[in-house]
Amino acid sequence: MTTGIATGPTLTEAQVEFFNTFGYLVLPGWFAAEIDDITRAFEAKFAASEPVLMDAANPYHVATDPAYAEHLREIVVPFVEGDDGLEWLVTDPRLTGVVEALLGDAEFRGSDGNRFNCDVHYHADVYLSPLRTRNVKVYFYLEDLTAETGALRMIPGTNFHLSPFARALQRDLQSPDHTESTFGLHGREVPAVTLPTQPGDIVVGDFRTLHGSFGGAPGRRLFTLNWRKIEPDAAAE
Amino acid sequence: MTTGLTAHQVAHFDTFGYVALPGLFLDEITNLDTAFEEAFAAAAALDPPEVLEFEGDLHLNQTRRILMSIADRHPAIGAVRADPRLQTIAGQILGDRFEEAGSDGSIFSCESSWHADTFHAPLRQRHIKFSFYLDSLGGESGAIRMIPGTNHHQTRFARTLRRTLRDPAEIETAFGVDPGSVPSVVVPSEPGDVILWDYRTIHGSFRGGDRRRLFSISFREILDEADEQSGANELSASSGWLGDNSDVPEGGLSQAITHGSGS
Repeated sequence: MTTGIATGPTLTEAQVEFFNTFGYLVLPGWFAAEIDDITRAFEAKFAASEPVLMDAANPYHVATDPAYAEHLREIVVPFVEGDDGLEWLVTDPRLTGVVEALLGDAEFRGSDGNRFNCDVHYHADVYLSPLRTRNVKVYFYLEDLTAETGALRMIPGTNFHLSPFARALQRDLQSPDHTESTFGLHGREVPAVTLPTQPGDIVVGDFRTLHGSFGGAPGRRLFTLNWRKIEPDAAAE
Repeated sequence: MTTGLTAHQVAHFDTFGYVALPGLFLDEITNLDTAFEEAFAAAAALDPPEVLEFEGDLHLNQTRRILMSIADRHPAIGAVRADPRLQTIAGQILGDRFEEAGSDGSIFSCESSWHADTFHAPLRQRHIKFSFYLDSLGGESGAIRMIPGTNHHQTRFARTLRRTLRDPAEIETAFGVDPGSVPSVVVPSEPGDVILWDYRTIHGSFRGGDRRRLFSISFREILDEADEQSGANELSASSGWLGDNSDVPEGGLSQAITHGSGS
């Protein structure tokens, strides 16, 4: 579906400029009023689903607790579509307004629900999505998260995905081993910006922006909704 | 220690535009601290005093005291400039042909908004700076903050930030956040650490206390004549860095300041 004309609150020009420059945006408290209902719906959806388990050999996912080495991440896809308690988010004017402001004409491209028992190494969300097409992801984290407890970390500027900076990092951060061999650093030591969040906040990210999370407790809950710009982006540098 | 940077540190510098070198001058830091204070006291006692008081927009109209050419004013700091550790590292980054590009000392009782150290230093010529902070500094006490990747100065990301962050008073209008909340990475430091960075990397410092002390020593690559002519043409064609896009605050710095001297 296309987003159409937003009727809810939307972004300021400054927020759009921030997103276009740094590749992400935090919107504190935008869903604070509904977060209890959203969290209950998340739990109900997970309970009624058969989550897919992330492949234990996936290089981006690393359990800090060996007890979770074979149980890195549970995923439910699709997540909000068809769910009585969550599907309304797809057409919520706050989200459609954000998407309209950032992408213009766009189409909803699906959602996923997650429980993380691991670090997630830096990556761009470009699977099944050509880089020349612009996509945004809206993140709903359901725990209080900080740098030490698994908050999302972004590397600003990597949204300019063809730039030398982004290309170098796409290559050198492609796995924990590459990161160690290139920089001598663990992923949590890579220069990045941490985005602390509380339930009710949302984060909006450009698919191209490199991001990861480190140090979180097992069971961290996240669900995301994704939109894609209809026209390919010719101005990505 | 004259071994220079590791391959990891070179990669960090080349990619992100800076690298911290913890404890590189730990053995000498007490003497360097004393030398810094002596140099400032001696310059302040001259008639007229040679310590510049600066309160420009860049420092949000708060006070920064600057002592240019500090390495020429005290033998202990002068010796750092020729130290094999710096010489080796400068050669690794800049190649065989490089030269010293000045030194300065600063006492900050101010914030420093975002800038690259490119005033009077063309972007196309590579400059590096070794910064010695003499106080223990963290994110809430005035440690330098870097915007990684802006050393890749011709990217849209870097160009957008140089333009948008140029006027501290306009940052909140442009991005909806105060200058201290612009996405960046804090580089904490302890006395004896050295921070090596590229002049092109956009940086600043916020939430610092009074009397944060820093001295820096810079080096630059030596361009051959053809490179210099090409650079002049490039600057002219882009109407860039010595004109409207210069980092020189309104009113300018003292003509004695011939190279970058940011936080």
